[in-house]
Amino acid sequence: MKKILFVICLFCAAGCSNDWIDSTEPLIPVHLIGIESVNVNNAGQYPFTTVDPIKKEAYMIGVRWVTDNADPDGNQEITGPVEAGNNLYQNVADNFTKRIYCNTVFNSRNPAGANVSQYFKAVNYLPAGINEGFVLLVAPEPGDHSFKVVYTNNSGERYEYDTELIRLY
Amino acid sequence: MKKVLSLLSVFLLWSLILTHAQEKNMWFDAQIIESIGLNSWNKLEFASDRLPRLSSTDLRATLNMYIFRPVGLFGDLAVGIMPAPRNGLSDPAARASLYAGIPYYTKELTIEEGYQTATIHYKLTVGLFGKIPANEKLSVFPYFGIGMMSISPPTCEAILKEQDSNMQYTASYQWFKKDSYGNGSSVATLGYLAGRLRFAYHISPKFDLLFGLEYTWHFTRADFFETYTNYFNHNLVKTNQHKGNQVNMLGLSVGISFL
Repeated sequence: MKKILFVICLFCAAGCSNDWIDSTEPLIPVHLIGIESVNVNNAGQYPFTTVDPIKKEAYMIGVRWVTDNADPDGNQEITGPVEAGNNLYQNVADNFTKRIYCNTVFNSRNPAGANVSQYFKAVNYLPAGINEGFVLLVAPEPGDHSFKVVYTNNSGERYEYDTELIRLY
Repeated sequence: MKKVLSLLSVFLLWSLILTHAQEKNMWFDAQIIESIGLNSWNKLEFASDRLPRLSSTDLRATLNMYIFRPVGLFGDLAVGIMPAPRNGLSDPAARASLYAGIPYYTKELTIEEGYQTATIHYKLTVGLFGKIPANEKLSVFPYFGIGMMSISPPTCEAILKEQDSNMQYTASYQWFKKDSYGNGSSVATLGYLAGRLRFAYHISPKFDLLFGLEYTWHFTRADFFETYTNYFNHNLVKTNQHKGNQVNMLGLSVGISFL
């Protein structure tokens, strides 16, 4: 009987201990301080970043987040643990509005500087090291293209980055 | 001659009624049945190989009741098991039939159910039977019935990507039937006609030993539906229906009658 009680106690302790660790584990605040956009070839099964020409129907923009672990409020004191769900790395860009502009002539209806965000869709399969991806669903005119990715939020933060000029054929 | 035949028929019927006069009006059978399919679920190999294999082991309880000797009514309930499909849905993109000559890749398998395990099914049959005594110990019972079988068909939904393009499609594969939204049914009901020949050997006043031969014809076809929708705007791109076969099964049974 004692053995059974001991085993039950052991299981309870093991079950509780995980909760205890999760609830008090400190999370380091993460803050978006910039972005980098790259050209991605999505022609095959797996997308990859490239500087080589890409089929215009299989072009994708990849975005890397530049983050900082400093407290965004500028607090200099040691703080207590941050509650789960706040400032997680995967949510760091959730509060930003994302837009894409063409730096070159996209097609006859969209000159350089036009907002072409409506031609892109976010996808969740990404090359290694890329945090967000946007596939182009309307093929541009063949030629050399560059796009400007812009992130803005209600706090007035604005980050932008131009992709390298790439040939789309 | 006609009079002789008529008299002979009346005599045979009368003798059968007398033979059964001492029997109970109602009795119960318990049987185990092993059946195998004589054809496939569907001509399309992809559709056929992903349904349970056409081999079934059933445990069945039958209630028999004379309505006018030697003819009676029967009703039975069975629970059975069919082996897992020959092929799991390892790569749904292999089936994709959107545009000829364009390869597709499976990006994500969002739903995959019913491919790995054996399938349990339930059967309900009602019909008529007759009794033909062969000798003092042995009797032959022909049965003819109509029934239905409930089975949980597999279902699959996957996100496919087109080669050399950013286009993605949601592919949905269902069997037997689908609703107007393209979703498969979680339980399919298959109707069938069953013919049985049962041999009962009288071993004691309380029990008969049973051996039987069975043939089942499923009139519900194992149709296969494939639906492709644009992943980004959810527009229907293509839908196909592959008509299934009407499956025939042959079975052997053993059991006991509790008189």
